[in-house]
Amino acid sequence: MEPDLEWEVLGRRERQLRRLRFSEMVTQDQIDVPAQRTAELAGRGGREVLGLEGAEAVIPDGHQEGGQTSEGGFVFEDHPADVIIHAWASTIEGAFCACARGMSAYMTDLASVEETVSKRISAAGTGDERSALEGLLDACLLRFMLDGVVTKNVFNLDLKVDPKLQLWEVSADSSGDTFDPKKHSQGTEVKAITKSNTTVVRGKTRVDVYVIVDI
Amino acid sequence: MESLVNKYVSRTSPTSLVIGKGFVPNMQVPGKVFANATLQKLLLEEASQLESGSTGSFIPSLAQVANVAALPGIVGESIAMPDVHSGYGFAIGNVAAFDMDDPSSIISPGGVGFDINCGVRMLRTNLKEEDVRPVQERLAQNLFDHIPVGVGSKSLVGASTYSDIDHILNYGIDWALREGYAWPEDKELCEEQGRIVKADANHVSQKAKGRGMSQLGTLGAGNHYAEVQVVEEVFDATSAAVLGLEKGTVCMMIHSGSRGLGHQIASETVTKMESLQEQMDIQVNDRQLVCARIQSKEGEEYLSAMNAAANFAYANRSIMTFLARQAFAKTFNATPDDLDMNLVYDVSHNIAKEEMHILNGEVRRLLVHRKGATRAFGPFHPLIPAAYQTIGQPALVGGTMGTASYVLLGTDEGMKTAFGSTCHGAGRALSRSKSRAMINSMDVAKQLRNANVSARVASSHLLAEEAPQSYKDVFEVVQTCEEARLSRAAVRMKPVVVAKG
Repeated sequence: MEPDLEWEVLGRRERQLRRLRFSEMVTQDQIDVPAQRTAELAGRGGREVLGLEGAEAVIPDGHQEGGQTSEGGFVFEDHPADVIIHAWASTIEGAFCACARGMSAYMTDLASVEETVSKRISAAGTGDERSALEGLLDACLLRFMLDGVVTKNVFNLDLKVDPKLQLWEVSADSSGDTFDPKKHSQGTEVKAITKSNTTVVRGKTRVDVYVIVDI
Repeated sequence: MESLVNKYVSRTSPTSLVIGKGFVPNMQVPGKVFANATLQKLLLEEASQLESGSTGSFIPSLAQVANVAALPGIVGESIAMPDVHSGYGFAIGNVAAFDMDDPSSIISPGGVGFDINCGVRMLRTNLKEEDVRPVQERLAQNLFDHIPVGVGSKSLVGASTYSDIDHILNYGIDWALREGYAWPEDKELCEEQGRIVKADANHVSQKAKGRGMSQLGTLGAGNHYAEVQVVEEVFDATSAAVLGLEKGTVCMMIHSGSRGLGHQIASETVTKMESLQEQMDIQVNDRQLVCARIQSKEGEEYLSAMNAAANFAYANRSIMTFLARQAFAKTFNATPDDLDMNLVYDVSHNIAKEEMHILNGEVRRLLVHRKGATRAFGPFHPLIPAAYQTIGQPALVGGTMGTASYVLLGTDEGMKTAFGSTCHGAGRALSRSKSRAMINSMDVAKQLRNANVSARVASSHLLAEEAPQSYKDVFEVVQTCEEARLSRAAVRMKPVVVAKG
């Protein structure tokens, strides 16, 4: 154990210093949030203050319940604890793109997201097309978690699956915006792709995909 | 499903059901579900809602409990708490123990959950309800301002380098102590004293560390919350006094876990283990029960990464405790010290722990997976803090937004029947989609106001998703635990302020 982490024995003086440091921090700006920030938080979209204006205050919606474009669409379906994203399109690539869009839409209303930042995202691994879909969503989620960019659109998707070797590769262009709570409404944070019963259904005219995400 | 239930599921007492071998293939041990008649009805409704294997569906919790009973190395029974509902791999509310000295025994990320060491921490104060009521709106706003919540929330304090994160992963609350975010006495009142020694930051990926760096000291979203409560009823005055609680005492609960870091570890481990399933030659009934032998390289690596994430969660809750103490200090114009803002306890309800248990008269070294279940060791257990030796380990059970929460205490009976475990909350009864379709956010807001609860939420539809109607009745759950003698109730709290993501 490192010497500076040995807390088994703490002298009275040491303890008083800790406490002093602790109570001093009450007035530090980065901890004790200034009044203007309080006002800003209270007024910003999606961060409602129930009780101050009363329950009659208008509460903006955090996310949309589904979406449809000419390329495909998505909707959120029932799960006891998590959420199933059901997406579809005429091709498997389109369905994957719609699913990625659906995941972002659960976290914020995409109507407020501009396409100011773009990046080619990619992932590879072992498994089948289901694993490839999970890999794509993981890449989009990490883009949000690590870079703070919410993905509005995924396009030009390139999917390679080798069923014999059980290997896959996926890459796509993504565009979106740096998440800003003042500008973008807050939905529910997607924390992980569960890899639970991910399903790809190929029909005659369209492909449907189902993914359960952990929230 | 119905015919299987009729054939293999039988009631053995007013509070428990047994799932006989044969319900699913390869069951090594029976399943046991702690549920009264009301909760059993909900379980059967969940089972009848779906057919296993249908598109995008999920497996009902009864089948999940049975599938866990088919895992290699399991001992005793696959146990479900009264708040059980369908989850990933293991049901949420599932407890399962594996013999660590059996080479075939496994560890499964699905038995821990994605949010590793999701847990609850409780603080008490020397304030009374009448002190808080006049300023409860201000307190609600101060808490909401101090503790970052919701989508995209970023850490206000904490780690800025990978070296910091490594220290947090290896040392847990000891890091928070060193940095002045925790009080020395906090450490004594955490499970594992706030630090699991068998943790190794080297087994945590850079991606996971990156996610942790930006989210340390943030509450998160979904069912996580920071709640100011008042002790409404005392069931055992002696035990309550030991906990420093009495009727009218103002206290606080913080429910959160290891944030994106834990989720990333779980995600990566599932992917890695899945690709190795065939060569490890482990037969499972469900792809979601992906696992590794405890004694394998993969098993050991996951265990040390999971422990590291658990340490991160202890540090995370410590920083939020620090921020909560600041919010109280600001509201009441007094230091946290003057307000006696001491920890009551900090429990984990998503973790696998190495423990010694007596099984069939023998002491066995077991790896106990508790997913959506709380450890509740009986009195005089060596792992309970000295202060609580005579009363048993506190188990903190959060209700739902606007409903009661409880402090339960572990019992000797629970040690024998459930590896020293009890429930962790109310457990979902409605899916999130159903909640949003059936419940109006504005109605919930009014309901909270009428109950004199000040709420702050980052996202409006969360009000519907987390409404009391979306959950089982926490009273039924706690009562079942009490009747089954898994735990006993010490106090019940009602909410005054709720902040959620």
